Amino acid sequence: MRVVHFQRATELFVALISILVMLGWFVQSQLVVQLHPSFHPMQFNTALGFLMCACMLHCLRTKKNQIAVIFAVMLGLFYGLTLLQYLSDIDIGIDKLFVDPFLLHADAYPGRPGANTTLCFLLLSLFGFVSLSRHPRAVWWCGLITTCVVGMSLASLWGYLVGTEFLAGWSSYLSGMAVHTAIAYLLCGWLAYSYLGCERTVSREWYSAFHPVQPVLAMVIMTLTISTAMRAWHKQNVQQIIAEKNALLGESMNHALSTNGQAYERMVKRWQNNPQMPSVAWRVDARGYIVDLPALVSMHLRSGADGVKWDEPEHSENMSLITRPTLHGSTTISLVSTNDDALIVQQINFGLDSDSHSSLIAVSSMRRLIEELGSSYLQDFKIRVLSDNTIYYATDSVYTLDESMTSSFFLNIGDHGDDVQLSFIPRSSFFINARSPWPNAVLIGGLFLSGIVWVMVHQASQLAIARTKAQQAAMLKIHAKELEASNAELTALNSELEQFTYSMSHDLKSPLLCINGYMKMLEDHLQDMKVDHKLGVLIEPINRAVNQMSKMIESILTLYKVSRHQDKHRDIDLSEIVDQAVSSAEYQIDSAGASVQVKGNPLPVHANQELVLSVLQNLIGNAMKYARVDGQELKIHISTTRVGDMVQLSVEDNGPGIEPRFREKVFELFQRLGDAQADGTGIGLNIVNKVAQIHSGRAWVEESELGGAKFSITLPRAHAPEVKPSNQVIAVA
Amino acid sequence: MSKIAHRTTHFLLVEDDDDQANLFQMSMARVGSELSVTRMRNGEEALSFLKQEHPYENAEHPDLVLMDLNMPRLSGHDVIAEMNTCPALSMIPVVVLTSSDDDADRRRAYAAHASGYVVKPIEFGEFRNMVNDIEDFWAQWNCPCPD
Repeated sequence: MRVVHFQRATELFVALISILVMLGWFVQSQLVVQLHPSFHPMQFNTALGFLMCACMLHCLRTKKNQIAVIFAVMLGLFYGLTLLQYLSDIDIGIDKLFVDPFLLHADAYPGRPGANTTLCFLLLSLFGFVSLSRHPRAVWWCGLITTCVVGMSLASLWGYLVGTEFLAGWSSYLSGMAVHTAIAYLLCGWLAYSYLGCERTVSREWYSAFHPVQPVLAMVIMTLTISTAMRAWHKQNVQQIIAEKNALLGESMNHALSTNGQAYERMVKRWQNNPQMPSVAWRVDARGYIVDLPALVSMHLRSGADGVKWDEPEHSENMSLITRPTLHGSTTISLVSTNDDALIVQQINFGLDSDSHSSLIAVSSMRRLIEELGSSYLQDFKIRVLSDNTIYYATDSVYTLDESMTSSFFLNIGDHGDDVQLSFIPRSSFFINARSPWPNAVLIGGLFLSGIVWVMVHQASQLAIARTKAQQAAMLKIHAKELEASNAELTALNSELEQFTYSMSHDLKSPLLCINGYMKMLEDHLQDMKVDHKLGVLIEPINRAVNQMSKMIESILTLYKVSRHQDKHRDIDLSEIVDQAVSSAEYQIDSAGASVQVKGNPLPVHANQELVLSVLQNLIGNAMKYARVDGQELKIHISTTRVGDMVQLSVEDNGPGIEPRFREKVFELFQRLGDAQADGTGIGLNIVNKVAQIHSGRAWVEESELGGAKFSITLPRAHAPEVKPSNQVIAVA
Repeated sequence: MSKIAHRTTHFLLVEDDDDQANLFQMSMARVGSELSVTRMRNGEEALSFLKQEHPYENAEHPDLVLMDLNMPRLSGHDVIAEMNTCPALSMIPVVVLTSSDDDADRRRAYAAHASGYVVKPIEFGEFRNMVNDIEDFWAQWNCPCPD
C-alpha cells in the first residue's frame, strides 16, 4: 500500500477528531472532550488548532502552497495570541471566543489550551513556513521541529500509559495535555515526517526526513519533561508529609488542651461538691493536676469579692501578665504572648459558697506543650503559633528559608476562634532527608542514555552512509562499464554507418557514370541526327540532376574522409595551404571576376593538411556560389590570426551575408539557405564544423567588415617554433 | 610527337558491369583505331584468359590489363596477386581502374606492384579524358615488355 493512502487517512482522522471534539463542546459531551473523568479535556481551541493543522499538512502534501501558508499564518496568529496571554497574564477573550467551557477541570484559565499545547501548535505553524523554504537546511530544521512536537506528545502519552497522571501536564504549573491531543500530535508529527520524506528528500521515503540528531533530541525532551514532572510530584509529596506532620501535632495539642479543660472542669465540680474542703486540699488536688499536665504552669482561684483567693504560682512571673482575667461567662480559653512563650489561659467560672463569681484560671505554656508533644518535629521543622498575622510563639527567631512549603493547622483556642494557626516550616535538614534521588537519576540517566543513543545512531548512520557510498560506487562502476559497452557499441554502429554511407556513395558512382556517359552519347547522337532541339531541353534537367548527385556523392565521401583522417595531424604552414586552396580555385575566381586577398602572418598549425585544405576549398567555394551580387565585384578576404594557443582562419566576403537566426543552423548536415536550384549540397559547412571539432577548435559565422559573411575556424598552433611574423598582403586576381 | 608502337595494342578490360564496360570500349574506340580491347566479366574469367586456359587456349597476352577491383567471385586484388605468382603474367602491367578512392585499396594495389591506380570519375567528360590519357600513355608512349 502506498504511503499516500496512509497520509490521506491520517489527515482525515485528525480532522475528524477535531470536529468531533468541537461538536462535543457544543453538545456538552464530557465523554468526547475528556474521554475519562481523570483525564484532561481537549479544549475547543485545541480541536480548532488540529483542524487547521490537518488542512495545512494536506495542502502541503497536495502542493497547494499558498493555501498552506494561509493555514500556517492562522495557526501562528491564534496560538501566538494564546502564548501572549500566558506571558502577559492578560485575558484578551479568545479562550471563550467560540464556546463557553462547561468543564473546568481545575484549570487556571478555563477554555485555554495548555502552554505545552500552545507551544506545539506554534512549532507546527513554524513547520508550515520552513517546509516551503528553499533553504538547503530546511528539511533538517523541519525534522527538528517535528521531533520537538513528537517528543512532547510522547512524554505526555507516556505519563498516561504508566499512570503518572501528572506527566500529562509536565508539572503542576502547566495545565495538562489531553490523551487525544497527544495522539493527534503524534499523527501530525508522522504526517510532517512523511511530507518531508516523500516530497523534499532524494530517496522519497517517509522515514528519510529523519536525522541522527532527532531521536536524541526526542529523548532529551522526554528526559527533561519526565524529570521536571517527577520533581513536581516529589514536591507535592513533601508538602503532603509536612501537612500530615503538622496536623498530627496540631491534633495532639488540641487533644491535650481539651483533656486539660475537662480535667479542670472535673476538679471544679469536686470542689463544688465538697464546699468544706480546706484550701490546702485544693492546693494538693491542684498540684496533682500540675504534675499530670507538664504544660500547666500555674493555677489561680479567684473570688469576686477579695480578688485572689488562692494561687499556685509555679511560674509566678508569668502571672503578672494576666492582668485582668475575664470573670464572667463560663469557660474561656485565650492566648497570651510573653517574651519567649505563649500562654494558654483557660478560665472556668463557677459559684463557690456564697461567692458566685469565683473562677479557676489555668495557665499552660505553649512552648512546653510543643516541646512535650512535638519534640520529634523540632529537628526538622520550625514551629510557630500565630493569629491575625501576629506571631505569639516561635521556636526559632529567624526565618530565612523559602516559606512556600509552610503548612498550617488551626488550634482550638477559644477566644481566638479558628484564627490560631500552628505552622510548620521545614528546616533544610528536612529537605535533605526528604530529598528524592529519582528526578535527578532520571535526568542523568536519560541524558546518559541519549548520549549512548547519539553515539549508536551516529555510528549507524556513518555505517549506512559508508554502505550507501560503497553501493553508489559499485553502481557507478557498473554504470561506467555499461556506458563503456554502449559507447563501444555506438562507436561500432557509427563506424558501420559511416562504412555503409561510404559504400553506398561509392557504389552510386558507377551507375551515375553510366547515366552521365550514356546521356552524353545520346546527346551527341541527337545532335548528329539533327533531332528537334526540344529533346535537348528535356535532357538538360537530367544532366543537372546528375551533376548535383555527383557533387553530393563527392561531398559525402569527403565527409567520410574527414572522419577517417582524424589522426594524421602534423605541423603545417597555414599560408601554404591557403595558397594551394586559392590556386586550385583560380579558374573559378578568374571566371567570376572576383578578387581574393590573403592577410595575416604565416602561422604554423598542428592539423591534418588534407582536411584544412578541404575547409578552405569549401569556404572559398561557398563564397563563390552564394556571395555574388549582380553589378558588384566579389571580394574574398582570407586571414589568419593568432588567438592564444589557437590560430583563427577566416574567409569573408562582401555578399549578402547570413541572417543571425541561421548562423548556427548553416553548420548542420544538409542545411541549405539557397533555393533548390542553388549549386550546393548542404554538406560543405558541416565538413568545416567537423574539421574544427577534430582539431579541438570551433567554427562559426559572423558579419564581415566587408558587409557579407565571415566564416572562421580555429586550429591548434604548431608545436614547432613560430615563423617570424611579417605583415604581408598577397593579392590574387 | 613520335609514336613508338608499331602494332595493334591489346588491352584486357576486366569489368563486371556491362554498361561501364561498353562505355569504356566505346570511348576507347573513339580515340584509337590501332587498339583492341578484350573484356572479361570477372576475375576468374580474366585469369583463365591470361593463363590461356579453356576456352582461351589461343588467346594472346595483353599489353595492359585494366582491372576493376570490386568484382564477384574473384576480386581485382586477388587476380593481381595470382598474376604475381606466375612469372609470365607478372610482366604484364596492370592498371587498376576503379571507382574506389579508398587509401587501403590504393595501398594494396601498389603493394601488389600494380602499374597504376586510376579512380573512375563520375563526370563523363572527365571519363573520356581519362580514357584518352590511358590510351596515350599505354598505347603510344609505353614500351611493352618483349615476349
